[in-house]
Amino acid sequence: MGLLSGIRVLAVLEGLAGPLHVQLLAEQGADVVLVERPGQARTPSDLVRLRGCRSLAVDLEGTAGQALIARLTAHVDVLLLEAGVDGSVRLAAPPSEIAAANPKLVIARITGYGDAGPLAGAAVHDHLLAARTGLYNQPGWRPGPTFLTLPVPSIGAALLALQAIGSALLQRERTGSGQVVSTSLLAGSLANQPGIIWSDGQAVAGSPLARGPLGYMPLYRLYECADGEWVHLGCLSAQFQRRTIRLFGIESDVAALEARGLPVLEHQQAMIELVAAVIQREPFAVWSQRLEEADIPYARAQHTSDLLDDPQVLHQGLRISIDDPRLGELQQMSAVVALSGEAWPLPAPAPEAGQNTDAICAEVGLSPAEVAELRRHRVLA
Amino acid sequence: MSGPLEGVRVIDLSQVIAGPYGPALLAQSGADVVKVEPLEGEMWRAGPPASFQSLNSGKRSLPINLRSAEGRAVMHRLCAWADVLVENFRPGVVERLGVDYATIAAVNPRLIYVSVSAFGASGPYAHRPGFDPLLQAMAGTECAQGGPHNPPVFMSVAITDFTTAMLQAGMVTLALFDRERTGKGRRLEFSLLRSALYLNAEGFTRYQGRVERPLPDQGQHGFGPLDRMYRCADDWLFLYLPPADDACWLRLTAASGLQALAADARFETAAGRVQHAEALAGALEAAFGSDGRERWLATLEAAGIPCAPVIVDYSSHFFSDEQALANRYFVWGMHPTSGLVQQVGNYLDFSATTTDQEGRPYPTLGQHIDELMAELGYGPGEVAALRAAGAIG
Repeated sequence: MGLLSGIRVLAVLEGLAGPLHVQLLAEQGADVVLVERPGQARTPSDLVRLRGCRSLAVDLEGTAGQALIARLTAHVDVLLLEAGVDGSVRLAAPPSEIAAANPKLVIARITGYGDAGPLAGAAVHDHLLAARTGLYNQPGWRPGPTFLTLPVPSIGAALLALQAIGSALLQRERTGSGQVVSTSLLAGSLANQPGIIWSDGQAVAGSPLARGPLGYMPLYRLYECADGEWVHLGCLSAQFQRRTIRLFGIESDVAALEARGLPVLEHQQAMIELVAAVIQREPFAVWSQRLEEADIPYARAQHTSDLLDDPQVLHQGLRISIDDPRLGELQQMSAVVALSGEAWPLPAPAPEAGQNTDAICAEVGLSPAEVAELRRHRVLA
Repeated sequence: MSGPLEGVRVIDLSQVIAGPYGPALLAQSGADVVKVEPLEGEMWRAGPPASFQSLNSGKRSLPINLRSAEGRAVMHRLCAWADVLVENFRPGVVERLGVDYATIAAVNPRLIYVSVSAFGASGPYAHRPGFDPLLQAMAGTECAQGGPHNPPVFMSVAITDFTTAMLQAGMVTLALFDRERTGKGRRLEFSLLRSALYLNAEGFTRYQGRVERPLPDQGQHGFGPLDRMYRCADDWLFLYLPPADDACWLRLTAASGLQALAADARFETAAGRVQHAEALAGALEAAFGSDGRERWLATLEAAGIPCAPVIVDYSSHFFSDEQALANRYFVWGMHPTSGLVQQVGNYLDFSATTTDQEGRPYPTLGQHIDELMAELGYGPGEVAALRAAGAIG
């Protein structure tokens, strides 16, 4: 059934956060209608992000399309508006006007930079936000800043919007009134950098770290094995660290290193060299068995697709198969969150743009003749 | 703090990042969050100070010894008071401590019980300890970050942890909404593995004619010549042109210092720009390298080209970032030992409620024992006896 069963959502999306967000709403049983451009193309990520949604293809350039969306907003619980590259949303009516027509409506906005400040309304794209807010201050394989493959500001905004909508629906249940809730890619970026903290006017800093593309700390880092595979050690606690040093047989080397009393960064580097030399001696399969037996946290650095047949993934039912009308059998991830004691129904495949236009128009009272007229004027695809 | 979750009571029984950050986000929206810690404090108190402090802001601290019968009795009374409980122990531990869902639901059937684990409650890896980087490695985040031409890269944003925590906070609000409609409590199960799949969902697919996810170039600048960072004479900028946006391309190539691109027939069409991506990137590298970043940003902005400086020391000047401050993306509070604490936060805006900027900073260990025990109905004599018995801190 899901936490949002019976909730109707109209989503006017323009960026990367919107699809990440609607995946979660649809997964929880909301009826999500995507307002799309006629002929809008699908990307490979849409196969997952837009599954379980329905699609209405409408031209919003003219007043007829805008009027249709205004009519639809009277029938939904949540209206999701995401800003596009030019900083604007495709809906002409301001949120206050939409809310006046449906006072129970929750209007959720995802902007680029928030509503105030010099960048409000500036060009919006995930990568620009990441650049501007320090997220590309990453280690990489050349000097200087490094691009992030994951759209971190959008991920943050998508998840914050979930909290905003849930909170607003909870309030609506108590008060009977909807409201406008807003977050931004800027907030999404900051939410992924919670360590920006000042105390009595001073930045609160951690210990110095030998930053590099393979990791910070000697036992919390990537290493290359003898066969070219990479293993990530995950020993944060002293208990795991002691166990690992014992497994590697380097107790005396580590003791000698500690006795030298080197500065932190030099000590880290020397430890890294010590561990790297040990791990380089055996292939990953050997290390996997030894680390497993010693109950030491580790993982193989692999490609995402390698997980498709992973025993834990299969045991947990995290891979599902759905029948896509275009692609045939489509394997992809299961639900992002499990509700204990409840089976998660398989989602419908991501719709083609406009696939549900007729049904959605009928639901809001448009006759077939009215729909045909809108099609004749190319308002509907 | 006030906010839309005012009146919602949360027990945070979790440690480190993926657990505690969720309740901290709920606290920002006004929830009353009680951090239940072992008597010696949560292990992350010994971790990086900025991390512990920010992931536990807005909470009250109540150390309880869950190994003692008296401590468990206090915990059960707290559960009867609460709306939400968050735990992230390894599978089996909550049963040993008497705070498993079946036990707690008997005390409070309306409770939303949140379990966060690394790999889920069962299966061949369920017993394994798991941390963010291990899931980054296992789920392909590190290989994707390295790109197709480099070894993997350990991303310094703990993205699997943060995503799990934000998912948790969002789903808790949905579950509270659902409870308001149905009267039902429930258990929500999160795992770092599920979150890692969510982050990399595009790579976790199998179908006929599958298309690979986009990966960065060998220099890890971006996804292509018109969606990447460039080194100017003094610093870096990021350039982004929407795919196949010819109008934007024409504006770019009309800009001062970039007109030579317009004369190059290879770049005339969107398809040509993809086909000759390397040559285009080279031409742009040469152009941007010829002058300083400020000059280029001014030129690009004047031409209406989406661009941004690549900032590498943002954390040191967040509190002077006009954009973040104008949108009130910060909170502050007075801490008993650290003084005035300021940090990022307040990411949501609600038209029907206000969220204060002034909140609680992170708690000292046991800072709120007396007030919380009083709220639970314990008298001073009982508190003293529980302290003496080692049941509370």
